[in-house]
Amino acid sequence: MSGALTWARLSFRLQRLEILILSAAVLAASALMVWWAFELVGLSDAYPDCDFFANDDFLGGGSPCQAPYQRFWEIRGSAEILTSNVWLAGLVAGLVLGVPLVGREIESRTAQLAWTIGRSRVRWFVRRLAFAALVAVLLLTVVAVVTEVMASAAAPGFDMSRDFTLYGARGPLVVARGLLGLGVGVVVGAVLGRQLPALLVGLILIGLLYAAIAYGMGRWNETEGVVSTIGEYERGALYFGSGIELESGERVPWGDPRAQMVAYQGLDGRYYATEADMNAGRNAIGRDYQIIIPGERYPEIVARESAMTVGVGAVLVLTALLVTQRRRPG
Amino acid sequence: MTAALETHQLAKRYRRGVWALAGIDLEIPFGGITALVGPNAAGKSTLIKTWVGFERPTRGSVRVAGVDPWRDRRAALGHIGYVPQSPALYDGLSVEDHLDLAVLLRPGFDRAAARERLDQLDIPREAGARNLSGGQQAQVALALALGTRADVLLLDEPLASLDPLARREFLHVLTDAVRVGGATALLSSHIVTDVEQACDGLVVLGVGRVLLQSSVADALSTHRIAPGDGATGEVIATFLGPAGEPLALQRAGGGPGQRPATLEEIVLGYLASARLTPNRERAA
Repeated sequence: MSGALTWARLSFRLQRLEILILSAAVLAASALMVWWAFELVGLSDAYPDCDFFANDDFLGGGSPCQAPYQRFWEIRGSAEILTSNVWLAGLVAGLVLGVPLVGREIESRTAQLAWTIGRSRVRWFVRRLAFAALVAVLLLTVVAVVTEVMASAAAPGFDMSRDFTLYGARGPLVVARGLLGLGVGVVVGAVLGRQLPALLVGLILIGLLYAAIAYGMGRWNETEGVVSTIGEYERGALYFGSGIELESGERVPWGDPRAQMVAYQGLDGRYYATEADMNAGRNAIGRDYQIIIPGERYPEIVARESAMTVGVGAVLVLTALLVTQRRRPG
Repeated sequence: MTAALETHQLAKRYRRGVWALAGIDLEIPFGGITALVGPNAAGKSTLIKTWVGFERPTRGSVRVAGVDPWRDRRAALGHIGYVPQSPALYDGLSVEDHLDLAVLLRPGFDRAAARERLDQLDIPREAGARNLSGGQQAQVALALALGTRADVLLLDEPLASLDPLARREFLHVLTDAVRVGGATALLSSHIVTDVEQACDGLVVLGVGRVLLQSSVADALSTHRIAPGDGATGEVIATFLGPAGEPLALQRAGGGPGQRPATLEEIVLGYLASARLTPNRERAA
């Protein structure tokens, strides 16, 4: 146990700068979000009869809900500046922690010391990685929890554990992306052996991997999407697209020329090109449709993408280990 | 009996096509300190790094205490204490932290002996590595290598950046440790006067090949210096003396105007001989 503590102390000293900067950023952002969350909860508690998701046209100038409504959406707007960047923050935090693990050791030639005093580079690598991964998980868990709290406060009365709102910007996916960033950082650091180039290349690689995973998971999820009419829109669903289902049963997007003929919607939900057709109930073009995954599948979908993301990170870490085993120490 | 350090037909070519080592056969027995002397770019660091397992041989093989570091790095490193060219300590750690790190990385690391060595040199253990002088950093690197209790010490030009006093202290600590502990040390340098007092053996490396391997005593007793035109024995090479006069290094022999060669003159003579026979292409 004392060995582990000593290792943690030494590891902290070796990465003190990155850890302190990331911790400060996480604490500042978390404090701000918790503050906003308290304000939002306070507003919804103080005005239980106000519907903060109503169209503000209905509130009217003299409504007692007018002022809290405006304040509610002001806070939400401010919070969105942070929450909309959380997906990137996890990746970058992991990268910043990962690059120095091997990259700095090679750049500053301390690997020559560590890799000759220690007889096993694998053991050295695993220990260094374990500490960095622990720091990444701890910091990003704070972010994940705070963003969950923020999301719940911003949607009073909704069950955010079954809601795709802010998908990827809260919860376990934030931590998983941090581990992906860590894997990228370790591998580019080990290959390049210099920190600044590794950070730049790492950012590019992260962008590519993120896009690839998002695309792959999107395609996978879409195959499991359910078709409904737009009128049946379920809040909190994961949305994949919409268009017109023609009378023939063929589905076409809104951009299709046949969909663009739509001008009138009848009471039966069908679309028509002319008012006369609608009134007569003839020559219907079709009905609208959308493909969604309902919010109740949120825990399952987020767990699947988190596992996939961590899996890619693990492959990168193994690659970094192989590189570390074979490469010169600078 | 197994040698402490061996190479057989060792050749190393870097990616740019330059041969750093061109087919080296060496056998350094256990015990004592051997100087590995040669000019810059002679391949001294490359040779040491192949034993440490940092450079993979292009051809041939290397062994440390009978172990090939490229087949069993773990076992080979168990025999090695290494001091790199410039002491690469962790800026963010104190001297004591380095000892803690060594204890964690190498089971059996002799922290007490390392502390004692550093205390004797008045190196503050609580000081950050970045605040130490070059000489102190070299001493910390040596203390770490000695603390491993390895039977083979590989020191890659550790004296290069030290002032004369720090060099002397470093060599004093090294010779003491080797004599008392019975280890084997290979100390590379491009300045022979740095190491002649401390070493028992001598290997002269000239751009990629071994020019001379001998004990220091044998080298001194079998080589003589003659004026440029007064050589009578087997001439190794001629080179210029301190005043620009031509001198000939010859093996054995004797004659008017001749005198015993100094170790520096022996090394200079062999290095001059290498200039006559360009070698890097040989490995190809």
